[in-house]
Amino acid sequence: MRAAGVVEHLFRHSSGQIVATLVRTLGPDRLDLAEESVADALEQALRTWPHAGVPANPRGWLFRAARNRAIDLLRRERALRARLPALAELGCAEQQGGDAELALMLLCCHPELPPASQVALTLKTVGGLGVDEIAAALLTRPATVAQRLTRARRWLRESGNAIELPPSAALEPRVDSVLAVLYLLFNEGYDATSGEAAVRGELCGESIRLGRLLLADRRTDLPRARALVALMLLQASRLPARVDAGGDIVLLDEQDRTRWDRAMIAEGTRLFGASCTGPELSAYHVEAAIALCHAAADAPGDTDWPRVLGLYDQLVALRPAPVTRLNRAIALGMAYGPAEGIAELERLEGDKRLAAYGPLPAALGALWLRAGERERAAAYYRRALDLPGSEPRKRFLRRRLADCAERDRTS
Amino acid sequence: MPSYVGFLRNTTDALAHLSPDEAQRTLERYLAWSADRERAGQLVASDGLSRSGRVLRLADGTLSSTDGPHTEATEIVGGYIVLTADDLDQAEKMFGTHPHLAFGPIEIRKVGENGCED
Repeated sequence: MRAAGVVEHLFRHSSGQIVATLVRTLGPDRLDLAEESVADALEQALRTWPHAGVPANPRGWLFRAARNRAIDLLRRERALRARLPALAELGCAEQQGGDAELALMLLCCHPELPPASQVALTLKTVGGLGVDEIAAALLTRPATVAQRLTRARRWLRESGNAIELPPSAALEPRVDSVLAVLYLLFNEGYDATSGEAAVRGELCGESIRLGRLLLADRRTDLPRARALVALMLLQASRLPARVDAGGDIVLLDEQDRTRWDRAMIAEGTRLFGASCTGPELSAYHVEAAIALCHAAADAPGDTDWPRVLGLYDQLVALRPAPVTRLNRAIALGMAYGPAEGIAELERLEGDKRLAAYGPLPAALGALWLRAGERERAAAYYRRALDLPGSEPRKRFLRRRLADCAERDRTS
Repeated sequence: MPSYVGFLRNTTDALAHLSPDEAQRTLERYLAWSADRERAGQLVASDGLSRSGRVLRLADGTLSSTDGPHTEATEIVGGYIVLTADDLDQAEKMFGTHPHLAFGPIEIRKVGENGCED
């Protein structure tokens, strides 16, 4: 009877699946009813399972309980009675959950919704996260998340969108919108911009899980979707080594590479190969290729920096954002010496969009330190410390600052 | 050894506002508590109760039935657990570690009270 039957995140994953399956029958305008039914099913499980034990098929149990609850609620609403037969005939969510989740995710990431709402709505309905959890993950206040969700649901109700996958002509831009949300979600988990924890691995896991849904359907299994999932797997493979026992950030060249997740690297590598079958070359492809260069190096000195730099050149061409140029400049410094990288970074210092971006002075600090200019390095590290960043990130910068002083004394 | 029943009371929506992960963690804590009691041979019976049923009344010779327990009540009994314990104090100690207490009170009563014991 003991929790032997409760798979990790069973409730969360089932709730996304069941909401998606119900919404498909009820229509997206009744997302509220689907969510209420699922919340009820979970509450019912909480009331009965501790006594009767976990049922043999817990997912099926939750699905039936939610469906029955939805039927109960529908009986009270004359306008919706016509949908009752379809609801009663619904098979188990497990068999069609993937499809329904995918369709719901495509709807949640509708380009007419603001990106922040897309992320919140996807996490809530498909990811099964609570409002407080979303707020903690996205570093906003619960009230803000609740407000975004309310507005997004109102939009869903009024937009009259169907829950089915859009026709193939309209599908690709919608997939792009999903990919953008997953990319954002993953980065938020991988590199927290502020807050206590450096990495919120759960967000990374969720983006990978949702990404796999895209790959499971022929219609959305695009090369760039594969490339993004490959990229996320390759990046996530380093998570175990990215933070030390004290919760501090460990940079790539100082990581214990034996702690990298080999299974993830293998899967990411395989998927990357599968993403390169056509002529398509997306920014996700190039980023995955860069991640693969790092994964392929057993020691920091083995990294093929000129190749990484070449890939960053491609990436800048595809996505000319200042942050991309910053990363390219770091690769340049690694490939051809600090002076080259510093010159490029100094050009970026004039870019207003990077004015409050901590990683820029931090990168300059690192390159000056490599060049042996400790005082200049320290000045940049101090500047980076004045800008917003997560606690672990600040601790990391303080350690570097201490390094500058130490090397001063020993030299 | 005497048995004691613990009625797990909660407000009707105390458990409904948990996120799925929170609900699952709560479930796991409930299951672990019961498993511990079962291993110690103290668990006699335990079950959940439906949220509502019917209340029968005989008034002036007429049987009436209303939906209940009490739709206006803020607390309902969501389930019960029967344990064996030496006395009420020991039963109190045992129920005192139940994770349900985060959501509502537990009312402990002796089973088979016959009026002539302490």
